[in-house]
Amino acid sequence: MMHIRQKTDGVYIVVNTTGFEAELSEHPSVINHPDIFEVVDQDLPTVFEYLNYQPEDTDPLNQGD
Amino acid sequence: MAYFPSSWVTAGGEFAPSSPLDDFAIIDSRFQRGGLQSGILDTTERDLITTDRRTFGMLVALPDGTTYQLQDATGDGVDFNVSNDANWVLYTGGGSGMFVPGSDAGSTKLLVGSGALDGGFDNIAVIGNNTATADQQFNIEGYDILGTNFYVNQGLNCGIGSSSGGFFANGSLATAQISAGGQNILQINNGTGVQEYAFGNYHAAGVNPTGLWFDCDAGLFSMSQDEYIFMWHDTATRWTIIGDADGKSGNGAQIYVDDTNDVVGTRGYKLDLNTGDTTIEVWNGATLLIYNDVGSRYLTMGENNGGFGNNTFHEFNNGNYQLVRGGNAWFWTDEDLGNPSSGLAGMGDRYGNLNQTTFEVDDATTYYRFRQAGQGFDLQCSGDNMRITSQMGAVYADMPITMPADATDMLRGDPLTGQWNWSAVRTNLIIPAEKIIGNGSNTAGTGGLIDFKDEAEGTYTGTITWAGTTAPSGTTAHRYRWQRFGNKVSFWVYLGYSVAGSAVSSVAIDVPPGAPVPANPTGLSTASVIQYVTAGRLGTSQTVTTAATTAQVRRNAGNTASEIVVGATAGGYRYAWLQGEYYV
Repeated sequence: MMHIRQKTDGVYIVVNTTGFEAELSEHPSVINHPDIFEVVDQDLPTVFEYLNYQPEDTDPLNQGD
Repeated sequence: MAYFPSSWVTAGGEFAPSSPLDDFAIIDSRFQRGGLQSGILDTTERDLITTDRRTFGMLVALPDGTTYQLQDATGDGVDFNVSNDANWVLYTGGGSGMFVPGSDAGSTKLLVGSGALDGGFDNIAVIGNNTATADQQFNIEGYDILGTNFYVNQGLNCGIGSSSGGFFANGSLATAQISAGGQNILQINNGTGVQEYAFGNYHAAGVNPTGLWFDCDAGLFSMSQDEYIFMWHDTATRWTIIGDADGKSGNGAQIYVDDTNDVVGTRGYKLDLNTGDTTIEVWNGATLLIYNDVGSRYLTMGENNGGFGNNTFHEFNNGNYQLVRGGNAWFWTDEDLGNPSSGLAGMGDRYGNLNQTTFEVDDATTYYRFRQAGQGFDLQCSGDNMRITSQMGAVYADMPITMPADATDMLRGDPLTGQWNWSAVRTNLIIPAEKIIGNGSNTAGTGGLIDFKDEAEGTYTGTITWAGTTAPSGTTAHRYRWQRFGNKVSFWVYLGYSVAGSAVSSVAIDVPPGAPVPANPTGLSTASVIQYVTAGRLGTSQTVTTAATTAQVRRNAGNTASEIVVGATAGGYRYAWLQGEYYV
């Protein structure tokens, strides 16, 4: 399964790409932080967490969407 | 010559045969007037004696040895008419008594008539002369016996042939030796003014005399005021049997103690059962009736002063009974108790005497009551179990039930054992899982089961969604705990990471594992709508958290479930605390 993961140790973090219809390689997270995010094609692990990627200039009191 | 009628023949000297050698009779007594007349065959010829030949005081001797005297009304006659045959009276010899030898085997003596057999101070009759001569009988019809003693060695029949015959003894009556052994059967004495009936030492021929027997088959033994039965059972095994002792039906047999006229209240039926094993049995169809209408009566078993055997009283009827037991006393009945309210009330303070091997009240159709007015009544059991069983309905206790000294215990029904037990409330009370007992309504009631669960702290495994440039990462420590009390759920979730995220502004999680699903309040069920306001913090360390946050339970963006969210000014957070309440 194609998905974008945050390239960090420990807990497996998957970028929530729901509603993003372009190629995953064109997702803002990969475009802006290719050193942190990568597109992978593999099965998701049993335990993982989601990240709703937001650029660093996002409104500070975002409600978590 | 005016002394005699002119028709009389007079004589100037004695009558005599012409020669001393003549053997003919000078005169036949049947043709004389009065005197002693013999040669009369029977009472029919006696009654044919003409009036001219009769005078009061004359005697007629019959060939069978019976002698009659013609008496007027000054004696035992009925009038002063010498022609009246009713004035013939059996001549018994007056104050000298009457002796009937009857020494021949098979002889039968018969006295028939009326009036009195009065022997004065002498014997009236002796048959067999106190010797064991077989088959002798003395039959009396119609006489009252007034003599001092009356002895019959073999058989005595009174009133035979009469429709209403009976035997009455105002003095003493001794009948002996109705069978081999020469032992007394019946004695009736009145020497002290109190009638006493003594039964003893009788045994039938061919029966081993191992005990005393009073055997009443289908008979009636009636007693009234001031009369007593004493049965002394002093040795070995004794039986008082009414009814079917020898296989006969006991129907109609009774010992009937009627004390209705007693105003003193001290009469009784007493068995002195000093030693041995004694049984009173009322057999098939027979009845032991004890009427206690006034005063206090007692049925006493055993002996009040020691020497007990194993005694049994079987069958019960009306009356106030007091059981004074001895040894292993058994009281039981498999019959109708009649009126148990009065039948057992008399136990009174003697209830302790039931504290023996067995006490049974068993009947399929009758209920029983044990009570004692004004005092306590204890049912005690020294063994392992004391059981009150009702096969048909409930067992009621219409009274307060006193608790044991340990006031923390309560009487409860144990659903596991099906028994009532005194047990500690807090340790042994069985409540269904995840329930408490309470009353959440606005009215008083017995309460009911309410949901309750205290979920211990554990590792949070629900879905976590961070919002930020990068999510916290590295080693995680996710914990949770929740508790449900009724319809409210309190939760606590902690998320910890070894690496902080960047520009993190919020985190959304599922309700803790196992926690009930939040209820959707009316009008708050669309996507992303806030349902319950909670609390939360995001932190850069475990000691520094954000100052301003928002936290709530809300519907998720897809409106598929409720989620818990906490948001803050974007920062490099790696800790989150989410805490609050919601309803289900």
